[in-house]
Amino acid sequence: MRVTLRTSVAALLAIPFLVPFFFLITMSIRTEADYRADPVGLPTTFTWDHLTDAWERADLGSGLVNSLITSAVGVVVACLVSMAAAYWFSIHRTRRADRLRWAIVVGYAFPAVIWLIPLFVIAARNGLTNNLIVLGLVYGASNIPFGVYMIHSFYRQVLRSEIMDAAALDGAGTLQTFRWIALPLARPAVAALAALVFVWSFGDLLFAVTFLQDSSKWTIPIAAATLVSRQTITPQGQAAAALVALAPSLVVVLVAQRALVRGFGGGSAD
Amino acid sequence: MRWGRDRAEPARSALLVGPAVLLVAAILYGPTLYVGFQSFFDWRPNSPSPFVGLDNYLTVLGSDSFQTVMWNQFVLILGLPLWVIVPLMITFLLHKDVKAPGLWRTIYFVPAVLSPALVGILFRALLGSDGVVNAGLRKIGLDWLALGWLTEPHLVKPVIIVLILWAQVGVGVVIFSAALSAVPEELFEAAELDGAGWWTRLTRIAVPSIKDAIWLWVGFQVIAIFLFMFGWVYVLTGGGPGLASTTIDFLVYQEVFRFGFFPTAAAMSMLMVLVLLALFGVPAALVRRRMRGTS
Repeated sequence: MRVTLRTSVAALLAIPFLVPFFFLITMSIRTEADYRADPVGLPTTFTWDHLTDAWERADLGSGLVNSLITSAVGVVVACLVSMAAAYWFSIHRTRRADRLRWAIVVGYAFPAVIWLIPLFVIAARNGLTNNLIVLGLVYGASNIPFGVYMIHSFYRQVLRSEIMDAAALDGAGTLQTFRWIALPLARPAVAALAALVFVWSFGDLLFAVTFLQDSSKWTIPIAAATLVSRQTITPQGQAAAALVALAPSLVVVLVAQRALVRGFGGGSAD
Repeated sequence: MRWGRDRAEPARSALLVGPAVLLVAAILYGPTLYVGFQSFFDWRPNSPSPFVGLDNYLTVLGSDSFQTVMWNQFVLILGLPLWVIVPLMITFLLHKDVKAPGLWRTIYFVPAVLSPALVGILFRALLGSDGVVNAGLRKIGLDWLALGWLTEPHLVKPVIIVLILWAQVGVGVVIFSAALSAVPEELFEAAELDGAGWWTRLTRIAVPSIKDAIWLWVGFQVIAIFLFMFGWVYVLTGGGPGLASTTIDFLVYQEVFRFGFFPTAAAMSMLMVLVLLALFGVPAALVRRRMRGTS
């Protein structure tokens, strides 16, 4: 009885989270006449027109490729650099090392718009704008504070000194211990970090509009946001553009759901 | 701790921790200090910038747009109770006696994975004046309710508050659930045997036991609303109508990339840093003081 009641409430609460996606899909795939006749009901027609139109008008194909390049660079940089630093901090537990770690982690709270402006000025002066690799590097670097925090707190749980002492007894040096013990141990935390950095970089708009002026370099969020803001676009065209922009992130949710939940929980087990 | 104490140690340290230090310094700290320095100059990239003292700050503080934006920030922060209480209640609902809690948690969590910009693109498509929401309302005869959700000055801020709730509830639920799962089950069972209703169990046991997680969440939300609103505003409303939904970070961006006013943007950036220090520093100082007082 109580279980049924509580489960029903949970199911009712799920509706507002699903309905927007339902409308997004139905709007994108039905003909205009069908939408006009009954905007909220189930579609009775099917067409690719809105999706292909949005895909072509916003050049979402090249947007997707650009987004994947920048996000991939961001993920690789953030994970590698954070992992190495987190490992170093977990074997150097001096006060100075603690302060240094704290200084890195606090960077997480720096509002991006502040440091982005001078960074843009410097990048523009050196011809580094409109460059997907540079943007990916900025994504990676801006996620290091969170990455160091997350992997370091993970190492604090799993990288016990007995393991390290055993490795030292076997004659493993700092770097070998990192390669053969710390790296494999960190896998779940790194998976969570990678999934998080990917969805952040993939969905970012601020860095992208700052660093990419040339529309052939636009990532999906800029391309889609520009298209949905046009005066000439129909509601169904907007929905189709939004659907294409959202789809990759939704796929990542389905594939890496557990890792993401763990990441959002700050690395704690779910 | 004796591993790796030898001559190659500094080189190894540099290899492991160097990249992180360099990148964070080059991207976060260096540029922020540079902006702070330039906020006292009539900053013009590519040409000489004369020293102007506090002029930029006075210009910003006296400007109408800055005052409007501060008011907007104040109105948006009023959503805070909603952003905290709703995930808290949902966490408590899913805690016990519910089928498939993981499934519900995942459903509530999906929007959290979409960035503000992507959520903005989604709702811009649904909430437009001819969007599906208004079309549906007209269909069922509620024409008077088919409003300009993103174009009415009085509506945009409440709409943004609700959309943030929609997007963030799942994260709150995940964080609170992790904290609540560490609370011993017997506490709730004992209270229930004593006849405590669900409200009492929520407010007297659940909330006090996960107090730290709640404060962490409050901190996240306050920082986000003051400093990380760009994605929402840019796509949903472009700051409009007028300045009705412009936030401080969006204003800084506009100042530079739309109007080319670097000096005032630098001063605003530093005011944001001050807000940040106040938000973090004051509570931290209070805590330290209280700890010193009790020990």
